Amino acid sequence: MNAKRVTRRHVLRGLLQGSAITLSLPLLDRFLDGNGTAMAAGAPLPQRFGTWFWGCGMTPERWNPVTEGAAYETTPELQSLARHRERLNILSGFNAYLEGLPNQVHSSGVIATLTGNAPARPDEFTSPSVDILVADAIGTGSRFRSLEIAACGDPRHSYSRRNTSTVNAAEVSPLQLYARIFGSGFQDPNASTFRPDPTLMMRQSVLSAVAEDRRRMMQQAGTRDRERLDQYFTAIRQTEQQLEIMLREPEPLESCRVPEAPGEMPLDTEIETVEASHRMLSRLLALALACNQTRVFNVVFSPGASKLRRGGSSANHHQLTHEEPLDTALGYQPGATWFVERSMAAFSEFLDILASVPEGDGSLLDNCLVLAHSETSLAKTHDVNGLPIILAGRCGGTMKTGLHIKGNGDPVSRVGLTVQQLMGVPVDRWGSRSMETRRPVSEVLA
Amino acid sequence: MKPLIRALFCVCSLLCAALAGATAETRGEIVAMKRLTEAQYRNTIADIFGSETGIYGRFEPDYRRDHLIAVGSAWTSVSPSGFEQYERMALGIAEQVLNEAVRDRYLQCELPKSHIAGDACARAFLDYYGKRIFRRPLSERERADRLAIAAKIMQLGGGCLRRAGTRPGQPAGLAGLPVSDGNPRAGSGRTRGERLTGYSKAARLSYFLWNTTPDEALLAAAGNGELHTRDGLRRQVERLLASRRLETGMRALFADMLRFDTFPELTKDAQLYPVFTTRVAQAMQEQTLRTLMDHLLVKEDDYRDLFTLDTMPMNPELGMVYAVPVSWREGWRDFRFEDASARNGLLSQASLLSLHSHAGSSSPTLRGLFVRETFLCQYVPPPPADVDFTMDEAFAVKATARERLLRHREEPICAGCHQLMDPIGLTLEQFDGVGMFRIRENGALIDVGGELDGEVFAGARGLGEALSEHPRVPACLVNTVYRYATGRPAVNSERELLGALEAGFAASGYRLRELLAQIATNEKFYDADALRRQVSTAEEKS
Repeated sequence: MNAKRVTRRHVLRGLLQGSAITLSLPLLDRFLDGNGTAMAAGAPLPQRFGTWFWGCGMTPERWNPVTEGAAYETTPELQSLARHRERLNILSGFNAYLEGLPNQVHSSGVIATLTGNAPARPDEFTSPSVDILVADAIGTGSRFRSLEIAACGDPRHSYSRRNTSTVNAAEVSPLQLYARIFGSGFQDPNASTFRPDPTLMMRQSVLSAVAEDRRRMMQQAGTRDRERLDQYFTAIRQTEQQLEIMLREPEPLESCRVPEAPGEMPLDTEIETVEASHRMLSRLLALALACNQTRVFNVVFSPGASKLRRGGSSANHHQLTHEEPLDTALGYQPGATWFVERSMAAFSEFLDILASVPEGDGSLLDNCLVLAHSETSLAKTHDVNGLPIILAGRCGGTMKTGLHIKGNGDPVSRVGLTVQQLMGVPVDRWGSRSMETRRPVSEVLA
Repeated sequence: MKPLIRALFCVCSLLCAALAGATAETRGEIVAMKRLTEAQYRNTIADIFGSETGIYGRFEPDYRRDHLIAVGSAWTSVSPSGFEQYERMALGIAEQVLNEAVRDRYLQCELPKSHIAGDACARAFLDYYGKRIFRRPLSERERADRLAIAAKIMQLGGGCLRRAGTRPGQPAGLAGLPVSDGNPRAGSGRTRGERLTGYSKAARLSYFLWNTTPDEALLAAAGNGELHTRDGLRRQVERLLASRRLETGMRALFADMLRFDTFPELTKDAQLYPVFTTRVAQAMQEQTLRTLMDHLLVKEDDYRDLFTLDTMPMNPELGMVYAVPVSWREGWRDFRFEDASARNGLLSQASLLSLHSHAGSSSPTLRGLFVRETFLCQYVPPPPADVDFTMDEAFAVKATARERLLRHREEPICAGCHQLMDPIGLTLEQFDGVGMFRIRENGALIDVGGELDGEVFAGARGLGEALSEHPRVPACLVNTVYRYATGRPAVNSERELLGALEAGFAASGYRLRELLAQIATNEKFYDADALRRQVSTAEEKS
């Protein structure tokens, strides 16, 4: 194609490569549909949802504030989050209920928070994680339904799952994340011209080629395979939607900036390497959000049973939680606690990064809802009572912040219900058995 | 010419985009389905388009279940971010194949000038590559669908067509996994008594033994009915077993069994173990796979002897780890450890010792668990969630792992399971977190006494001997290879079959090829009814 300026109207007239392009509806959609996707003057900025996970919980007496409400005291393990105090809520005392099933160590807690169910076996997701439910509701208008990043170097570190075996694998390399977001296929919303990539349409025709295959295959497959096929075809459909979005001219976005490509970075579980990866991945993620490439994200700083370690030390975070003696003078495990504090510092840095992107009258963080959580409270005993939870961001003003809320033993599914309602998912009841709830955490609803 | 190339580009990427999985089919029913592993995908592309064809994209992590990726692949599906990558890889492949510099090699015709000839060329391309990628000829319907696209693109002069009116959220047209035609029987379409198609048998056989797509001869045997006859099947199995490509397949099997897929994420503390680098980690895996291939396929020796070998392949990178003199500059040579040495057998190899350790220390418990699960096929329950760890504190300061792990014995709730693991792993304690030899830990001498199911012994040599004589060891290999081949755990009704396989394995002198031949020629391996029934039984079991 010549490098001459091609406008949307040219495309609509089918001038591209002289071929008959039927590219009408999706583009017109944008003018008709102001439902979050249109960002013309006056339209609301999009809201984003994300999770941020760290492994091996916390030390209850050093993490949980005592005072409820806005006047809560800053505890030692929350020290580094103090600067974001007005932009987040601390939730303590919410429990995972295991329904008499064994505690699947380092797995039951995270699954309870994300699905409202207790797993019968390790890593069993009997229903989709909450980020997927939110993405189904708000993620269809952006290029990526969701983006996952993990800082410890393992793409398996992802709790974004439609079911046990369908995992949205995490990006671990900043360079690869960059290529996926800002590499080929990226449409700079602030570019002076819009040139839809002709291969996008070719790809569409490829994907929509065998409309009959799906029906035929579904008829031929057994029940379980049919379910797996359905997931597969759902995945294809989402790729088609992605192409659809890439063919539309993006609305200019003031805060969208295309970064330089990062260099290769080492991947390791050593804490400083992890922090560096996390920082770089988070910056790219923040720009992906600012450029409306995705509205849902999942970050795993360290996985359940965290393997974070200090250089030269023979024991990692997880080993320390079990093996480190309690310092009787201090009343806690200093080595294990050190990792909790570093994890909270990393979350604070993550919020810094979101807050550093200006958006509208405030920042990107103001238009986010971030659910930070871990798989246990005290990891030493794999305790799934009193799970540590932080809800950060203002969610476009729909969430009240600056509070400490005590769950008093309520099911943790109340949190999952709350975030769904905040993100506009039409749901009034969530979780199963004793974690089924109709009660959002109303204290945070503005 | 350009329109034709564009059309072929679409056809090619369309075919490749369907490469995510493989199905086992009767005439009209899909009885089993699996996602190809990364290695299978790579091997398949290399076989069809040449090994120089690059694959640009990131694979979804393989999913492990019942200790094998081969089983997990029969359970998992494709996530949206996973398909995004498959599509990318498909486009990359199509781009390379139709690149002007090389495409003559792939086109199944002289580049025609006329429109009509273009149709014929597209048809030839589709038929040739369709059969190889789908591992069977395309059905009339599949063929027609795809040719229609090619024709349309050519008619538009190389432009791109797009289905009008497709909007996000609406099901659009879909590309698919390879699928059979025949007479779909909606929903309840159970076709009891129907056998797997020859092509499905061929794919099953080929991925089992070679970890790749069927070759021309196997496709031919599938097409002409040979695989449906006892002699014909045996001929093909013998051919596959005699081929050098068997090594590719067996490397995949053992890499799966030994969990080498977890190596890329294995980290070791650089200060404590400066010797452990990416290259060394790769050499460790290669050493073990070479040991296995040499022993099992080249020498065709007794499987049980693997546990007591005093020789192993060595290269300069590993010389450091094993602290042995390596006089040659590069490559692999056999190195024999002197009798006095504690190195003995597969379990004293650095790959397995590193993989089942922590980042900064060895782990007798993890090593013992690995031996139980992998070589004895035994289940050890996970620790109870509410373990009281206060006892640890008194033990944490002890010099050796043996002393530190004493706590497990003194607490009944721990002892029940840990006595199954720790006494095995403690015999390997002279190997640190990356498998380097040591005789002291924190200044104290290491005691390598241990025990396995009543047998008392010391050190790696003792453990190797105990394992080589343990009756469960060959039975466990039989079970593992069967699970690997079928993609699911054996069910109760298969006990008899497994018993027969074990007896045959023993009668052969525990030769791997014989075991593979028994499974690959067994009609149960291809029986659609059994497959269907067993899938649902396995489902109930879980």
